[in-house]
Amino acid sequence: MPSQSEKRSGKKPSAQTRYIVLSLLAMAIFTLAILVLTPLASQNETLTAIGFTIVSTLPLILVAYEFQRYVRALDELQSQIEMQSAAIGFGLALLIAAIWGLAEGYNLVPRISIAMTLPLGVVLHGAVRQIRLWRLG
Amino acid sequence: MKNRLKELRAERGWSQQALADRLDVSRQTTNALETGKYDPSLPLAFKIARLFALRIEDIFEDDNG
Repeated sequence: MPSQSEKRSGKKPSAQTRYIVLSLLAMAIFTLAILVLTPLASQNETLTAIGFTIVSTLPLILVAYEFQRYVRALDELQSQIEMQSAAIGFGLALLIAAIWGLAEGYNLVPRISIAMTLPLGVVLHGAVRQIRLWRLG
Repeated sequence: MKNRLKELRAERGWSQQALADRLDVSRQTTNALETGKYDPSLPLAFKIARLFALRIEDIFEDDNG
């Protein structure tokens, strides 16, 4: 069994790699589900729509589970970086969503589901994390 | 906050990874500690002090001190 530090040092497939791969995969599935199922759900009965909603939500549950698993495997600095990056990433995603919403109101941009904020947040979170890790050296 | 981590590690001939393994943190965190980019929590500071058999104030020095 590898020690915590072995896991953190990257001798074994790290918790970070697992989290990044799984969260990006889950967000891709979520995005695809929204793009494909949303138009279908609006044409179907309520029960089908509920089913589509549940199917679309499953990748989010996976990301939430993987995130807490990942953060628990980190040391204090890595954990701090992760939480701050998440706050900044999702804050930026909300800001972009608000600006997009305003632009939608003025018919400047096409209408996009507000749920798309989540995949955007995950990508921005990852980008902010990498910038912070790069700056640490 | 200034510290003597690099010096203490060098005295013992440990690599950053070896120190990281002893403290159960990542090598990146050890590097951040040594370069003063990150100040450890109190539990980690005590762990470092125990590892080197020194007092916390013998390892870490307050910039304003």
